[in-house]
Amino acid sequence: MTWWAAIGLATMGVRRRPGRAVLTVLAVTLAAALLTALLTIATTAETRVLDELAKGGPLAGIKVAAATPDPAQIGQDNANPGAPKDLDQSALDRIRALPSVRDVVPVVSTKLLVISPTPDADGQPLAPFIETVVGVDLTQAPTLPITVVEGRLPAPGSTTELVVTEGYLERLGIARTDAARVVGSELQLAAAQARQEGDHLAARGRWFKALIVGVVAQEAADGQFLMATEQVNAARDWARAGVIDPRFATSTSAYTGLFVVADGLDNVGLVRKEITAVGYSTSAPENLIASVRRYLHVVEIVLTAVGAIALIVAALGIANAMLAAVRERRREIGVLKAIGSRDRDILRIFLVEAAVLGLVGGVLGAITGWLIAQVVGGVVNGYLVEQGLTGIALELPLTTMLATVVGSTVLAILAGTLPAARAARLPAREAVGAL
Amino acid sequence: MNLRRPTRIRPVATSLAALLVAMLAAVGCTSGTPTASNAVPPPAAPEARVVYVALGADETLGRGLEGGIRRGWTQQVFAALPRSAVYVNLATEDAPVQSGLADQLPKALALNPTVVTIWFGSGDDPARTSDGEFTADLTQIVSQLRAAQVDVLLLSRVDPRAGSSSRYATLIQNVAETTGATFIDLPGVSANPRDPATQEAIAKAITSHL
Repeated sequence: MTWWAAIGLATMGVRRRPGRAVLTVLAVTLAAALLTALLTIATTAETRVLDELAKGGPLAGIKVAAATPDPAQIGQDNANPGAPKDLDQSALDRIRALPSVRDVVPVVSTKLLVISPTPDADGQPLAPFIETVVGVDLTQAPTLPITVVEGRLPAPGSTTELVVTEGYLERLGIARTDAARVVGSELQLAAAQARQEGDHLAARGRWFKALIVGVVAQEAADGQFLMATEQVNAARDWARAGVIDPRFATSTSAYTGLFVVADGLDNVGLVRKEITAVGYSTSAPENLIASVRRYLHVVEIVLTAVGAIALIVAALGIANAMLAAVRERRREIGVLKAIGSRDRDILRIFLVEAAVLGLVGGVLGAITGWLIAQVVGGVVNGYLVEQGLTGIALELPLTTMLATVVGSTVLAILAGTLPAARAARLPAREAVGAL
Repeated sequence: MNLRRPTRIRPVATSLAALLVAMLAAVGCTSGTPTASNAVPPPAAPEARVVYVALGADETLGRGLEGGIRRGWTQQVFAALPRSAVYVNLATEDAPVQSGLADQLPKALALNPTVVTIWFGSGDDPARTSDGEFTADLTQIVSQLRAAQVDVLLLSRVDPRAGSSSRYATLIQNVAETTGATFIDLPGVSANPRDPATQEAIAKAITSHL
């Protein structure tokens, strides 16, 4: 008997009892859907949690400060920086040349006097305040720990756009859910050039204006404002032309810090050790990320087990349906054997029938699971956005879906093996005798 | 027998199809891309360069203003300029015009300004600065700025109660006429320079010339 003939006979067998076939496929579909949905949600949750820990940046990110290293910093996620130490281009080049370093993004920051047009929670004009503005090359934003909560990032090279952090919202007494309120408002910012006037310091401001285009969560450096490097460097140059003013913590370092990306989470410790040898303080959430990943992996195993159990139960349903089919089709088996079909032909028919049930259930289940994950993702997104948090973006889990389809089919074949073997061993005379 | 089969399968198939459609509808209703985006926008287009510098003495410095720094007329002029504008106030306390020429002008020229407001007079002692010296120093300041293609606005409050400032008003107007600078007199301005309304009136008078 050819495979095509076996498939034809198996399909006829399925169509003979459509109700039972539909219910069996439905059981497999539900189990496969459960497995797909659970794995999709677990994978998305893992990505989201790790993304939150890395603040949208790479997991293997390391912050380098313009300071001498704490001798015990390598084992700690948040090391205490030592005395200030200039971080110049030659230091950057040395760090960039280290093995296992994939990327290095320079970060500059400076304290500026800020005039905000947005009133505080009581509706009173906010008094001018001093706050740090962080400058980065925004074309490298995807490499940095920056997550846009509202609006967008400033255009690279723009001297008139900036984003604010949640710290600025807190300063204004604005909830994260109302972040959109500050987007579109214009700030006036001034770098102070201090000069000695008698026994006191007088400051002369270099003012510029910047439009708030978004709200971000960022860990590139401490500061409530983030913008392109150009304007921050101009402000730093202006401030450094004066005398040192402790209110504005003027620094002589070319860069305030660096964001270094190691080529893999496993190499973070090694790169930190090398940067320590170069002579700079580092910090990275490597230990925290490793611990969280371990916990998330356990959750993933548990969820996979739940889905797998459901799939095994569905497979038992297939076995039961196939046993019933063998009982009902004894005459057909007898006739097939009487006209020359061999045991392995009968085995093949029933195995193909089981595989068809598993395959159809698996395909429908994978699609349904994806749809369920989308619905759950949509509800979760609604909640996150309501809480002023970044929403999640579910990616099509092609590997999971393919594994579910293959797993369902293989389990169905295994479940159908016993009934198929029983059908194959049925003596022709006994089978025909039922006539 | 064959005719009965479809009647058995139809309700189940219909239910499954309905379930699938409902789920697709639910997906369409609930899931959506978050409003915030981490995408990097295209690079910023070059913007018109505007550098505004204020030269002068106490009136320009705005120290002790009622309502804080944002009420100062220079700050209000800056606010009225395009967003790409940069502003530096080089005025110093009690600065005479001679100090403006010696100290403030070099710093101003180093900033490559496009607009400069100049308001001297209150820091000049009539007993020590003659009309000729005042005119010569102010003319030098304006001429050097004009030579650098800078729009210069010369301010003077022509008010008999304003003391020495008014004494130089005519001289300032003459310098403006000689050098081609814009002269802005502020006759309607209140006598109290620290009053926010005064500051607003000065800013309005200047911005109408920009």
